[in-house]
Amino acid sequence: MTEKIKVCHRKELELDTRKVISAKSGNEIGVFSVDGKYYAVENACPHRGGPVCNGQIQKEIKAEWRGPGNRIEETISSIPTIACPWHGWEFKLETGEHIGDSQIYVKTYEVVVEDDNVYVIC
Amino acid sequence: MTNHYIVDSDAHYLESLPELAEYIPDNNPFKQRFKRSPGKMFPSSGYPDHYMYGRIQRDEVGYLKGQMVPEDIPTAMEIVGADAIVVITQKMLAFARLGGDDERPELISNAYADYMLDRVVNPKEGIYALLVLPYQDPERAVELIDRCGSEKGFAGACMICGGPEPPFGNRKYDGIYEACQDAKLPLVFHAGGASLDYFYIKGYEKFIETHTLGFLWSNMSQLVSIVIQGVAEKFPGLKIVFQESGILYVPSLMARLDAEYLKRASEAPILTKRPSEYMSKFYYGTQPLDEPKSAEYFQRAIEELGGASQLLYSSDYPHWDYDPPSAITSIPFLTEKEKELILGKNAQKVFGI
Ligand code: FES
Repeated sequence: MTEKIKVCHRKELELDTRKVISAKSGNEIGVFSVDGKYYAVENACPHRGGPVCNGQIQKEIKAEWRGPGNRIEETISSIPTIACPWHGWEFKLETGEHIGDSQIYVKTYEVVVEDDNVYVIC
Repeated sequence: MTNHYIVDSDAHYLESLPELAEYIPDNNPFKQRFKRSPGKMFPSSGYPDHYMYGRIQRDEVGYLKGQMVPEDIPTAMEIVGADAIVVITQKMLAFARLGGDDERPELISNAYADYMLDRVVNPKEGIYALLVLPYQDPERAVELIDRCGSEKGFAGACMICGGPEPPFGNRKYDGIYEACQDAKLPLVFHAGGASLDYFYIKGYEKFIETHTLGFLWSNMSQLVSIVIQGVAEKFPGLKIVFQESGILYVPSLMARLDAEYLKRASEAPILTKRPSEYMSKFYYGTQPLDEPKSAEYFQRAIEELGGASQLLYSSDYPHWDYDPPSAITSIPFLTEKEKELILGKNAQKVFGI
């Protein structure tokens, strides 16, 4: 049975970047607005259950290597991630995948905007 | 005795510096130095007696004689029961303690390569050596690979793990990895006795303590650097072998590195998978084979490190703690096929022998 939860007005989320809401099931869900896109992930880290949605949002660091003898260049990509504040496990907001192992992920939810209000489908 | 074809993937040749000096250019002062003061040219471990004051009594070849001659190799093969053997240096295990002096490593690496080709290796008889690289000067190491890497008598190249600075994951060594990959030379990282003295200096009192720690530290420290700095990602065709620290440290290090990686993946963005996944594609020499009480644990640990396909039987002969092939044949849970792989087939594949 899916639930459609109203999070807040679009403007409010854009201002605060994140809101953590509770679903009927009792699960907490973090809803984020980053660079004009919305994301929602469950606030339970698959590592030790930490409050991942309270973590720092940033962009994934990528490596580029131009061949033998060159330093591995680290650059900031455009992929938004969130790092669990307990031990740093870092997840892509879009897919929920851990940046180091795609077999590990936080649950993600669909976000819709209707009449300038943001909703999570869970 | 077993019927399997046995390749001893790591035995030692105790080279004589005065003999190697013959292969140093005439106008180089080290030609005299190697001849006149060989004992002072490469540090030895400085330990009390490896042979425990007469308790270990083997003097066919080895430390008790101080050095070997080419005719000792067939004897060593017979004692071990090996059909083929890959020998490496004794003196160069102390490379790390030469500090900033990169001349001696280069000289001895080149002299050793020429001496081994001239006097020792004999592929028809199954006698191979490794090209020990003077990693202190990577350009010269690459020159040595270019000069000798295609010789059939060299089954691979070797880097000694006893404390290179910076460690082997550094881009400084990229040229070496590229050259080995291009030449299809497997690269053996071999624990270095030189590092043992670190623990000795720090106050550990007995050989049993420092020997346990030194070899583990030696290989683990380089494994961490190589894996996290993405050597396997940058050089996917490079065959990587680690020798002489036993095998049970491998699954432990895999688990530790994976745990670190999951917490700090942004520090290793070159990696596209967990550290353990790279490590399970490396090869590991078996000596000195760990002797855990539980066979179940041992079996599980071997599976975890990649399985029998990743293990190479090695004797380390004539060193005091050498393993005969029975170290492998007596493992209760291995199938005959797995024993065959570990005792010879894997090494034949890796080294192309
Ligand atoms: S609980 Fe989230 S990283 Fe440990």
